[in-house]
Amino acid sequence: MLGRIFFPFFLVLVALTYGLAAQRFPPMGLQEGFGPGFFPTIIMAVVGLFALIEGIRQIAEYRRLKSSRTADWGISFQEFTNSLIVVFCVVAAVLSMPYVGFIPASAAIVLVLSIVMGLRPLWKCVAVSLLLAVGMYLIFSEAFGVVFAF
Amino acid sequence: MEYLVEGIDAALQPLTLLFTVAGVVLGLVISAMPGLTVSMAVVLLLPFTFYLESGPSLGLMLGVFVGGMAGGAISAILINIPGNPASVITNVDGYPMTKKGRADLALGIAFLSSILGGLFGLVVLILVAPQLAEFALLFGAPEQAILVLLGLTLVAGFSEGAIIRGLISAGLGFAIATIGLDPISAAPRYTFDVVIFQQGISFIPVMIGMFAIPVAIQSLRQNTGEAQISNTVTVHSFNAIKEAFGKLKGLAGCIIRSSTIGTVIGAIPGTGSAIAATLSYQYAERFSRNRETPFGEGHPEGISAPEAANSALTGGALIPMLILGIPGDPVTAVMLGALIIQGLTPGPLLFQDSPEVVYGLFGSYGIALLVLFIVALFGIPFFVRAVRIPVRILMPAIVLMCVIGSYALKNSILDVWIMLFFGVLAFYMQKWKYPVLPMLLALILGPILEEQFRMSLIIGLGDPLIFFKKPISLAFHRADRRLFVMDILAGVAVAPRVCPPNLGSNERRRPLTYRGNPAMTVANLAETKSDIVTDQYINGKWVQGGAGEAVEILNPFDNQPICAITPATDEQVNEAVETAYATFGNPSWHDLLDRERGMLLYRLAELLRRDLETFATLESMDTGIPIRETRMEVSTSALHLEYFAGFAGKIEGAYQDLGSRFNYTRREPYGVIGQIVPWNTPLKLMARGFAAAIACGNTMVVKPSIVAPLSVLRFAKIVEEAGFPAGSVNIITGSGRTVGKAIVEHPKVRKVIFTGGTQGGHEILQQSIATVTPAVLELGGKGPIIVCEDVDWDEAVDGVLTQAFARKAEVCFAGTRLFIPPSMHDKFLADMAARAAKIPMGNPLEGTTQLGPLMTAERLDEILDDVDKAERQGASIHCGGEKATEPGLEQGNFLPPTILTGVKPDMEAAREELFGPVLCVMTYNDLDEAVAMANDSDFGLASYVWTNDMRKGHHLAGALESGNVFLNAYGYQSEIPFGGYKMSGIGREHGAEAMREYTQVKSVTVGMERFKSRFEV
Repeated sequence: MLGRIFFPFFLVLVALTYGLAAQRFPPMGLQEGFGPGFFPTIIMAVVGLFALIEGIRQIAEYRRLKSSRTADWGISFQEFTNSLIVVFCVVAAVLSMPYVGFIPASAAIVLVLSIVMGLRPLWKCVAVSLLLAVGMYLIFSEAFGVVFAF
Repeated sequence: MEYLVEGIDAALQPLTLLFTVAGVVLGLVISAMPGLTVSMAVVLLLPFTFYLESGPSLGLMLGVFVGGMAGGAISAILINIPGNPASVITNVDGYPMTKKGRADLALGIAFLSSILGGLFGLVVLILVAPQLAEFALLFGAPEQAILVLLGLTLVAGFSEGAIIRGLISAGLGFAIATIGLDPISAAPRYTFDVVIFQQGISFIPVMIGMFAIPVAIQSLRQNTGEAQISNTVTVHSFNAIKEAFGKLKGLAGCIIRSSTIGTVIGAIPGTGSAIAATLSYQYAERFSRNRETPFGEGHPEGISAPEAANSALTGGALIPMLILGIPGDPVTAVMLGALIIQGLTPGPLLFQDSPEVVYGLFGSYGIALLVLFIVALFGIPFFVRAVRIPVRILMPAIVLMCVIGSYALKNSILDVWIMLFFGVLAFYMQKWKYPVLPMLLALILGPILEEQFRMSLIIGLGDPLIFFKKPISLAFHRADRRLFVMDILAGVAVAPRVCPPNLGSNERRRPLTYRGNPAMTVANLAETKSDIVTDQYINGKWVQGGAGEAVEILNPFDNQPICAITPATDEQVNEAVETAYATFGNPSWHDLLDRERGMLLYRLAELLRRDLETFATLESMDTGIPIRETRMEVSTSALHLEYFAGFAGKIEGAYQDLGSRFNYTRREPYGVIGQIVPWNTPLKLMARGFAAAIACGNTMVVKPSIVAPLSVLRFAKIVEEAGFPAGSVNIITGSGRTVGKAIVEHPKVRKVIFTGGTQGGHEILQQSIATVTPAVLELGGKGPIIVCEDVDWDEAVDGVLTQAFARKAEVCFAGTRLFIPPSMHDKFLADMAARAAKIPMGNPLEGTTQLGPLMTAERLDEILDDVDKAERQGASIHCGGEKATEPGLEQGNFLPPTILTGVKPDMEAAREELFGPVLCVMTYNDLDEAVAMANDSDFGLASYVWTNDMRKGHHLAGALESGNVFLNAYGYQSEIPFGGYKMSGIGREHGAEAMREYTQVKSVTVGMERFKSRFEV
């Protein structure tokens, strides 16, 4: 619930920042009214207004359900950590690729994720990760000519 | 039909076929796995299309689409878990049937229904899409903006949860789409001074992240082991399809009904396969006649209805994507991405510019259905195994694919971060019940919407009512009366025929029959008269001419007066030039940025298209050119304006390093340019020079011919409406001998543009001697046509017919001398005459008319005199040669296509420009003789060659003394430099050459060292 309240108000702030930045764009000669800032200003108004309405609606909903439901963020802790794991794996792999190379780094992503997903025994995880990393490398690098110059 | 055959042929190319088959198989496998959707399948395979040609790439995508839609049924039927949303309701009856031991029958019905539903969608797509695309070509900026907005509103509206969250999501997509350079002014927005952000955020990595990453996050640490299929389930492909065929009769109605629902739902953006499947299931339940088995307990129609609907949806969903470039669901959004990667922009122009791609796509769709049928016959057990593939292996692989796929698009690491950011954002948005599809579609469509929306407001001078006044309703309103209804009627009307083939001199005098339908007159003359402008436009004001008596403007169809116009006086000419001169130095014009002048021209083009029918009607009434041609001329005029609008701001000088000093050149506008416009196709001939001169920064005094001034005078209205500063464009009319002369001799006119006869050109040159005013002259022509023996016969006959008689040959680049080998002479002329006889003559305002009257009765008499003279000198009249006097034509200046044979090069008919539909035919023995005869002319404007030997063609092109040579071609356009050799003129119109004509070079030299005096004092 809290996530659903927090998010629209966060969007209101984003919209305001976005719209204010648009006011600093240069005007466009004869057509000052329809210059680069014109469309972002409309978007700011639409997103800001609807996000505000949504935020207020969610607060009302929260107050209505407060007695019967526990306040939460609309997302479980496990889901939150899952998202962190995926982000961590991708970031770590991409950042490590220049140092360790494509195959070890991508094998590491697959290995970690398959272990987290519960693939057992471990040799299966290693085999799958190596197979996928090498397979992907061969397809994209050798067949399609992609240069993995991370 | 021809395109369709080509499309099937393209789809059967080995590589395309291979990838289509691979697509169907992969679509079936991926979609059969619970949790993996069709969208996921196409997204995962999208990176592969970066490296493929358009055919195999689209084959792969369509194969996945078709296979994926069918594959979802496998898990739904076997393990009671729909493989994707498309099969959300298939399990309700599919799984009970499996429990009864009839899994093979259930799968057979599902596959057969899918195939037939897909076929239905394909047929509708083929029948509807090209027609709608043709219609969509009429959409201008406001219509496109409204359509995009409508599509997105629908998507947001159909989103799960509240519409408000859908709109917020779409707004976020639009906001992201504004990152990068502004599409109109190219100003950077939200780039944080990072160069790479100037390109904007590519939607491909966003799409990959949004569809795949949330699924991966969700599946992590869930108990998603192997799906369990009961050991008692056995599936035999052949039996499955055979049994399903047995049930087909009873299912036919259900399949047709569900396919219709699926196609319609698919064509509505934002609806999706789940809605189509559910709705068709409900209808099946309501209308089913088979009550032996209750729905929900293994009813065959409960499987057939959703599967037919979700497959038919494919065809429907492709309609808005291909025609309008608006993807209605995630799968078509990905396909749109695949097309864009191939350098193709979906929209109505795709049908016009790349029909082979569109019909190739249709072909691949059909082939994919065929492959699906073959797979269903033999491979169902194999795909059943796909259900057993563990998600624990799949998900890590998917994350890795996302990283590689987003990187491989541009070899950019930034795209990986974008993919990750939007993937995680999509996950959280979904958790908080925000639909992500509107965001993705807004990201794709945002740039289109912004550009069209702002363009519309600029065109409408800021009036938001343009979205209500101009768009579809008004377009329909204007079009129905004049365009569509008339063209439809024209198609079934009987056209008048003239100019019978020469069957002897008596035969050619056979009476001609005019069978035009007077009720079919396109223009409402009373209404058109309200569009007629008779005043002069000087310094932004409308004033009546004051030079003596008003001149009657006659309609060449019946020589009846249309209106009367009083020519401008010398004082008015002076005022027009002086005001143009003053405006040239005035900040209102002088300080305009180049691109702002370009915008004025773009706006003018838009207004011209808006008033296309008005201009076309005026031009037809005024010049006798058939309306079907003047419509094209008006469109071409708009293209000229747009072409040169794009040149504004791209005029560059040069730089030379000279050691102790350097030199650079500036290309500067001349100042006031006087344009003298002829009476044949005045609007188009005015627009080309006008657009180039304005783009270069000049101001204008334009003088249309007093014989045919209506369209150009009306043009002044839209110049005013477009917002040109007063005085920058002045349009006055009158005789060339008075008003034209006064313009040319005015000392403040810095350059003259003249299109007209050679005699007029001589006069212009003499008049400009005193002021040394340069001129761009496009004068007469006597175009030779050389037909070689190796030609494609029919193409050459049609080509020569067009070159010689199009627009009654009242065009300077008409081909009027035909050189042909003796061996071809008789049959070629007989074929030409036979086809010329089929050219309908009549009222230029009728849609059926293809050849109108000559401009004036005097011109007709002069040409007839020339023809008689040629006959007296020994030439023979093969066909035509007499004024048409049949009912309906007798009042007009009609001359049927006339072919003179036995013409000698020294005859007047072969040397003088007759400026009418008279073709002089001469024979040649070898090409050197043909070239010699062709070059034996005072003129050198346009020459034509028909040959299938390109080496020979290029040789002839080099040998002909002509400013323009057309090899197996006819007609010019904005991009082609155009001008004459010899007495056909000086200078070039069109293309980059024109930009040099309307600017003059200023050389600036800068000393880089201390100046050394020549004097030692």
